[in-house]
Amino acid sequence: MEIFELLQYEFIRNAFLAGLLISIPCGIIGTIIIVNRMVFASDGIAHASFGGIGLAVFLGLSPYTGAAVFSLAAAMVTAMLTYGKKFRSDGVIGVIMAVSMAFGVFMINITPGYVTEPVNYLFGNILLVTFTDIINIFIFVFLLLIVIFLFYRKILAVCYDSYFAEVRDINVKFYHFLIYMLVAGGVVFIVKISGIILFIALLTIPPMIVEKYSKNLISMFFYSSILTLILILTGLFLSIKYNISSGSSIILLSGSIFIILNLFDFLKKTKNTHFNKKRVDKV
Amino acid sequence: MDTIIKIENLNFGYNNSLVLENINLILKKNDFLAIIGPNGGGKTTLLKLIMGLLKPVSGKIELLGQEPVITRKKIGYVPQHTTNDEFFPITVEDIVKMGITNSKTLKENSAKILDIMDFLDVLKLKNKKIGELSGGQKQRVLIARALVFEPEILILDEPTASIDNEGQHLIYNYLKKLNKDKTIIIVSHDLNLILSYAKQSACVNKNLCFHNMPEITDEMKDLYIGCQAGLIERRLKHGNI
Repeated sequence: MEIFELLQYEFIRNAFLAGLLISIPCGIIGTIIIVNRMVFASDGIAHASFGGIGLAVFLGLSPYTGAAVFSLAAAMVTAMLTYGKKFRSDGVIGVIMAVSMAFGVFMINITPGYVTEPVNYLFGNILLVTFTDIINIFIFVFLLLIVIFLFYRKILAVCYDSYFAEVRDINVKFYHFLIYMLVAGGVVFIVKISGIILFIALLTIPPMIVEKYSKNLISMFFYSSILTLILILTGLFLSIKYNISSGSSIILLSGSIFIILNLFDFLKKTKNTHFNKKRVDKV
Repeated sequence: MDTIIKIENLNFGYNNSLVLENINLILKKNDFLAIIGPNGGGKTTLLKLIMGLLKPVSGKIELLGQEPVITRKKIGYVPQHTTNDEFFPITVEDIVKMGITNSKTLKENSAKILDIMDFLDVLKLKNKKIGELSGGQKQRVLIARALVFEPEILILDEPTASIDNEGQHLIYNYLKKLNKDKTIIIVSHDLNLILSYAKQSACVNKNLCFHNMPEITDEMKDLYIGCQAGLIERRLKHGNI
């Protein structure tokens, strides 16, 4: 089936549109979490949202409301723990993540009847995106771009050198919390579509691939977003063509490119070292 | 002469254990103070207290006559280049511009920024990524960043660590020139080198062991070694200093 034939279907058009929109926040938030070394904290926030899903399902509320409350709360707690590096935050993040997920599963277990939403939430399905989801992501992307436009220089200063930023009277605490709120926002608006696993993959793999080719944060935002879009669209196309899960198709494609490029780099470095050693031996 | 920094009976510690005890210090305009001392002696903590990043347990710090949190914008802070992530995607020009956070002020000062980069010989590197530079070049970039907003005080935390001898002399020569209109505090491990540039020196090992000694002498070297071993305190108590 050709790509233009596929676009006749509304759910395919929605999926491609959603892919286009989520590539922007994934590129921006992903870049910020990579340069701040907060991938594990972001993973913790995403997984902690599962506790909210379980509670919401038990109470008969929308699971996404529960996920939003729990991810925002987890982001606040994580931001507090990591600010000023007072605690061994990685251990505490692990505890929050595990307990919240277990709580979610427990609440689902004691909920009468068969519950399907939590499974969708963990693994996501971009092919089930509705037009309302697209409007929601559009609003999130718009707000995110405003935040970056207004605060770029200060976010850059805080990410690069928080002590210097503080001496320059930048409110480091505010920007530290803002960054965690952006991650929570990503969880709320993107995870419904992508699922937790794909969300983390899209936040980490594209920025890590483009980091060495980026001169500054802005170019890294841009390259990451473009690469995320290419990976989502190609992965989607492959998933439809070969009838495999869209999430795993996108992640495997991203992971393969990451491994191949790093392997290529490694071989290049090894070759250069070998060449230099030979030259030294000759001299 | 104007007093720039005044510290009186300063105590600071974590979890009921004092890191700095009874520190007294006065720095005037155009002073150039070298702080030396053993690892864990409280050198960086003292700098953080002066910059208002930490609050004293007791005692008083005045920076330009006010509390440090009010006047610290007048400080140009230069950390050790190794404390920043060398893989961070950022160009030399972006780092230097970080010294000015207001976009309007940044535009107005664009010529001055280039002059400062030229002065520190990093202008030709402006489009390079920070990770591509040598240790000495990185450190000069961080000094340029601290200078773009015309600070009255420069505070440098081990700026010559992991830099070769030639690079160290180059940095100290820049600092000597800057000292004509700026007060400088520098933390260093290299006693011989720093004391040939600094006007005053102090050894921090929980206490401020001595300061305002302009020349390096054998006695100072002994004191420094004594300070490292914690012997200085005992010598002071016994009055044989």
